[in-house]
Amino acid sequence: MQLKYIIFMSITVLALSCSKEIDLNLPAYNSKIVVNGEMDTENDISLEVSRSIPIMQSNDSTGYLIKDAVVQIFENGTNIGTANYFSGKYVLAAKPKPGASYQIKVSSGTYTPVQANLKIPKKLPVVLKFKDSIGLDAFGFKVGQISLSFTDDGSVSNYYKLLIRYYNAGTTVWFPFEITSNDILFINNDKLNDGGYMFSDRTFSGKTKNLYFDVPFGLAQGTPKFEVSIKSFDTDYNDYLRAVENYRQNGNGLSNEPVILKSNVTNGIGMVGGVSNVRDTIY
Amino acid sequence: MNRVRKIYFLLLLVFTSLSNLNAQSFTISGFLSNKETGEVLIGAYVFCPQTGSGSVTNNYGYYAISVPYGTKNILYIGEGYYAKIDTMRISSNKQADVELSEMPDEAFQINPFSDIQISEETETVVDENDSSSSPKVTIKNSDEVNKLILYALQHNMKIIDRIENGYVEVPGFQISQMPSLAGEIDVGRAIKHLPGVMPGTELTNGMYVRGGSQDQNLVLIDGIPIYNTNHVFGFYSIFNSDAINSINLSKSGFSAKHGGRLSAITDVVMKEGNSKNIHGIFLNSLFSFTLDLNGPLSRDGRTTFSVAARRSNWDLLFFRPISTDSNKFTYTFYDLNVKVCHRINAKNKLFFSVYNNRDRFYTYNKSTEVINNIKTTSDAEFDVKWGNIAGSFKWNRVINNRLFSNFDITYSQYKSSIGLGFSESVDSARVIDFSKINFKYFNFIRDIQTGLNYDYLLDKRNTLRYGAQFSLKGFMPGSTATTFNQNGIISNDTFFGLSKALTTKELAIYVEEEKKVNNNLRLNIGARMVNYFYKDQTFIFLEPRFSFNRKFNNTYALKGSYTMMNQTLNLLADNINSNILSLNFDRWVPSNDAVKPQKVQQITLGLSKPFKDNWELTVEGYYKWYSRILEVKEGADINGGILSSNDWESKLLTGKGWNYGIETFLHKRKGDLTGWMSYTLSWAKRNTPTVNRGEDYFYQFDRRHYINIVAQTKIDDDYSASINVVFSTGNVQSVPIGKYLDINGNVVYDYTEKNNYRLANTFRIDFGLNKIRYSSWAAESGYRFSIYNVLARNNPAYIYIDNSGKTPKAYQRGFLPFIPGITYYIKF
Repeated sequence: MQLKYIIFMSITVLALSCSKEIDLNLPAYNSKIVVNGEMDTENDISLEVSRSIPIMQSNDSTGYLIKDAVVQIFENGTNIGTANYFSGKYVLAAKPKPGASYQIKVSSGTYTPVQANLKIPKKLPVVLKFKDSIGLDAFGFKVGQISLSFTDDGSVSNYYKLLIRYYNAGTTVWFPFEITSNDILFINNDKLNDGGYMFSDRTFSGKTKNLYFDVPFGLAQGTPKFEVSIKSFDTDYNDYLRAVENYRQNGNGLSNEPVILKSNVTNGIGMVGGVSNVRDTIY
Repeated sequence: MNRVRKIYFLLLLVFTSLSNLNAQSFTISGFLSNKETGEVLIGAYVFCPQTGSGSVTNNYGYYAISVPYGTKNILYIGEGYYAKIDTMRISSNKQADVELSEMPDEAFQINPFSDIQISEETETVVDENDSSSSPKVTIKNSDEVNKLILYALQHNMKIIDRIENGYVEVPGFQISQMPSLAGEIDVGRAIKHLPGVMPGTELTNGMYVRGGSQDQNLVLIDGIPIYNTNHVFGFYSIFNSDAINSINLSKSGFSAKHGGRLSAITDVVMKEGNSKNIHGIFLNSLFSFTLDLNGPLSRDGRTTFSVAARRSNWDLLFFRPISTDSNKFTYTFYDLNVKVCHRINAKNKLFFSVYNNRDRFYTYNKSTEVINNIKTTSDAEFDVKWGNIAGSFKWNRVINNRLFSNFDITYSQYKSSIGLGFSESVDSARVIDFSKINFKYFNFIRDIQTGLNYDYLLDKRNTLRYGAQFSLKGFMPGSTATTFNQNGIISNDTFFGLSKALTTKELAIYVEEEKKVNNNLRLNIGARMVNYFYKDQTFIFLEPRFSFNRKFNNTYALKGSYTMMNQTLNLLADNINSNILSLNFDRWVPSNDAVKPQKVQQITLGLSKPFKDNWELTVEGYYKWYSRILEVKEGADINGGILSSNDWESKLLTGKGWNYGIETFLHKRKGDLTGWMSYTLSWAKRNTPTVNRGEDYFYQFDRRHYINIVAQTKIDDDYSASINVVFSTGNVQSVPIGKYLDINGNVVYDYTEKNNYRLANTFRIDFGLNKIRYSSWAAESGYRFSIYNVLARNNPAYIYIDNSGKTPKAYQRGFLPFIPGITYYIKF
């Protein structure tokens, strides 16, 4: 209702005001190379290279993607190959290594070449278990439990993203698992759009974190099957992901404070996140 | 608690030890008042030329000056009044209540002091017929003293004698002559023509002092804090100028008596009322009627009253005639000031004040349709209200010639509400089906305060001010009740938000000493200690205050100050609705562990110089640094969402800030041409973790240059003209200058940085023409014509980009460019 009131009052006041189309005297904007991607230890390197355009440029322009870029990948200072354009992404058949440093150099035509530097966090020691029965619920049905245990590296600030999915044999589709937990991690942090949660190691830095998730009866048809993915990454990537989520949820309306996305691409824009991913499927 | 007691004790010890009692001096004290009306004179200047010491009357017209044994002149000077000189033999403490006579047509009088007899020889003569004077005494003054008397009469020496920095006595008469918006004299709007006080967006009534936000300004009406000062979505302020005795604005060098806000204190004192006769004024402008009546309530004039009421007239003239039973649309506002003063005796006086204002916007629509003999009636109602209600009781007591006390209790409430109602009735021959949905949203802040304050003239060199204040506040950031009524059965009755107000307590003690080191150097050293309680959280602040005034040959003064201020309440404001459109979403919330109290320190250095013919020049530089200042998180919509009242803490951050600048103020108070010119050069920067990638950015109302010219002149006996010229660098705003794809393939804006775009400059000229008529049936009547924004320039409020179409377009939004106005008034 308050929102309706804001809109109503805004319309009233604005009706009394004057609006005119103007030529914005904006600072000169040079299009830049945009590099985005998640360097995930579980997947081959795949990056998106695009360009930024001036705000006033027509929206049906030739598009944002750059298809003729040269994308070189350096691992611990050694060139490990050039990623090739395939279906909107630049792909290199190599998985990032936990603990390794990477440098991505991208050039294209007359654009200023850009580079991104990142480090993949060390591999996370994870213990993952599933019990199909830890007791009965109020209706007398069996309740299962997923237990997850991992040890945080206390020497650096780590951020995590946890995503659990369950497999529905009937539809042969993976669905996000609805986490119900009283752990502070899930109380203090909002659920993401994909059903996952992001949290920091602030409450368990350098310690082993144990998490337990009850699995209600009948969640999955047939044999219960879960995919648990826990990703660890650094502060920059965490801030970027949170800002993107914030942008998605709140947009950039007139009454909102603008969301300004972080970047780790020198001379350009975008974010290449280094992610140490531990993904496992349990039954 | 032991630590707190120790600090209190230490404070008292320090200030007591600073005092240096001197038994050879005596105190002359009393009240200054208007001879014709009995109204007290606030900010009048009392000066002893033989000693060079001066004093300024306080908000109750009281002064106290310490003078050594002997025969001395005492000058009493009030702006717009004939000055008076008493010569008295001083051998004991004395109470001298003095009345000054108004100067006719004061603003245009070339020599306002022509009535004062200053002997060119060496003798000063006192008027024998004046009962308020001492018995005839003559004194042989040295040439130097006589020159000083003449100098004091020709120059506004008060500005070099006052120790306050960043202090402006708002010139009431000049404001009443200024061109106004739609003919409505608006003190709140006029204040923004002063240096360092910047308006928000063009036309609205936001006020940003030295780069501070709106909630950093404390507005006091008769000592009562007022939490919302806007009528009509900020187009007018709530100050009814006809009921005001004085307005003072402090931007720095704050007295230890005041605290709780970071940027400014606007101290408005209402009229006490004429103690001789009933007088009044009636005004009719384009949008409102105003009636002000004041006079004695008792024959001896010891009890006076002042009532000022203002009401919108557009609803009566325009909205009501076009409304019908099924369609109503109205907008009304009113304000009411009532003040009653009772002088018990020469030493005791009581004051009762009530203040109330309200705005209401209301629409109602009813429709009926009949289909297949089924009659459906539906109506929709929309009702928005906001306003303040406040009251105070005060007791002034002159305990002895050296000690003045004031005890007060105040209550203030600001409340706004939004009501929405929809109902539908379906009448088919046999059954009547009825349903109604109601929403009601409201928020408020309530504040009960009490205080005991003392002014103690220790000796000719030391004045001590001390006191204690207690405040109990209740905050309701927002609650919503919804009901669904179907055929008389309430099936859904839901309440969102807080069911009980958040309460805070605040206890403050303060002490400050004004010390005259010698005739040319004065210091003010003080401290304020605040204990703030919210739930189980306690905050203790010790706020040191220091200011100095170094006079040079009585011709100019160098002034400086250091202040620390903390603020324990916050106004939730967003960029567009609150700061630009001034919609009444004022939601006050308390500070707590999550949103810690805001804190600022400020240093200033300035120069004040009076010139002949009442020209004055003030130049002041300032540097403010915020250790904690409120900022809204990126992406957060502080006013969005029905349940936002519960999660406001999660949308706020505290950051740091730096505001600095220099202000120049050239003022001419009297003569054929009066007015002022001011120029402000300023910067306002912020840094907040996680905002703007952690890098520095400009505050939304950072403006590099702000120039004001206010001028008034008399054309002939009937006409006078006035003009305002305003130039300001534009605000800053976050405007995307590029766009690109994010990691999920969605188009996002590239702002490069927060508040990266500076809007176009604001330039405006207002023109006014005043016609005065004198007739037998009224003391004075006349017309005031005004044109706001004569050039019809579309000054920008904000810009936005419509990126939805094939080709993006940029728009600049401004407000009505050209507003004429007329006011008719009768004084009687």
